[in-house]
Amino acid sequence: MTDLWAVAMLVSGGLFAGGVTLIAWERLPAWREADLPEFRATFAHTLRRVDRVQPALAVICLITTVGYSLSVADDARVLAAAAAMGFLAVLVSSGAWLVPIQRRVVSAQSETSSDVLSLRATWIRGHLIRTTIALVAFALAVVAATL
Amino acid sequence: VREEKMPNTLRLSMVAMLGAGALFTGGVVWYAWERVWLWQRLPLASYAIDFRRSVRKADPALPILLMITGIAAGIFASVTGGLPRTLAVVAIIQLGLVLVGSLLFAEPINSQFRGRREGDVPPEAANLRDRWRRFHLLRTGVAVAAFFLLVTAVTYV
Repeated sequence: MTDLWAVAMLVSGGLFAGGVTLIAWERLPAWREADLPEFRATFAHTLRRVDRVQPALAVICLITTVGYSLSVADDARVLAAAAAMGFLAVLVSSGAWLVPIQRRVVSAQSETSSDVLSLRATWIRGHLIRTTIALVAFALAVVAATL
Repeated sequence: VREEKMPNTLRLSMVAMLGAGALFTGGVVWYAWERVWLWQRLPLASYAIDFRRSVRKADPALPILLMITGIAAGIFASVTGGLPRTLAVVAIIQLGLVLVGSLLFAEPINSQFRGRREGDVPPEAANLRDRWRRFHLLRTGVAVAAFFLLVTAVTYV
């Protein structure tokens, strides 16, 4: 059973961390340089695709990391619990902080250009923070699984 | 948690293989899920611009991650035995197929776009886009299978 938790945790965590990292590496520079209409259009396209999958992957990742943590002991349990807290932090911060920004960027007609520029800068900063947390959490999960 | 003490070489190879493998696999899955879907819907002129920019960004990073994964998996296979070694060897073969396939099929298409000025659309761009999409979906499947085998191999050590 421990092995099943480990496989599920590492596969879901790896795909999640790899996905958010590639957004940070490939999309953020393009969005940072795009003019505002282009940014809003391409950002909306990306959200349509990613918003269905990434949260689901993060939830699977959290559940399997908690499951793995409960199935092992000692250092592995501590590391896996820390990884689960990291994935939880990513989920909560995404829902509470970044999703409202996404909605304002994509839908609001009343936002001024300076508002959208500010929202874009905040979202990019937030995404870099959650990418860092996701990578650290995945690294902890990997170390926990290799103890 | 394993009771025997694990050699540092083995532990490091597992961490490197899973870390780089996750970033590589997550990256190609992201392309398959998001970029490929969007590129199919863009007009060719917009596609040519976006594809060229994307390739220029991804090209140094993803092949390097693939190589690190393959090398770490090779070290892992050399210091383990039995089922973990077998799984790692199969994964290495799959990663090799992804690398060789990328060089033979994807790279000539990438260079058609990368070698032109931004905004220039290569001849038969629609055909190139379809071929690249089909190949990318195929290599994504192979890469995911390889990552799954590497993860499974680690849990059997």
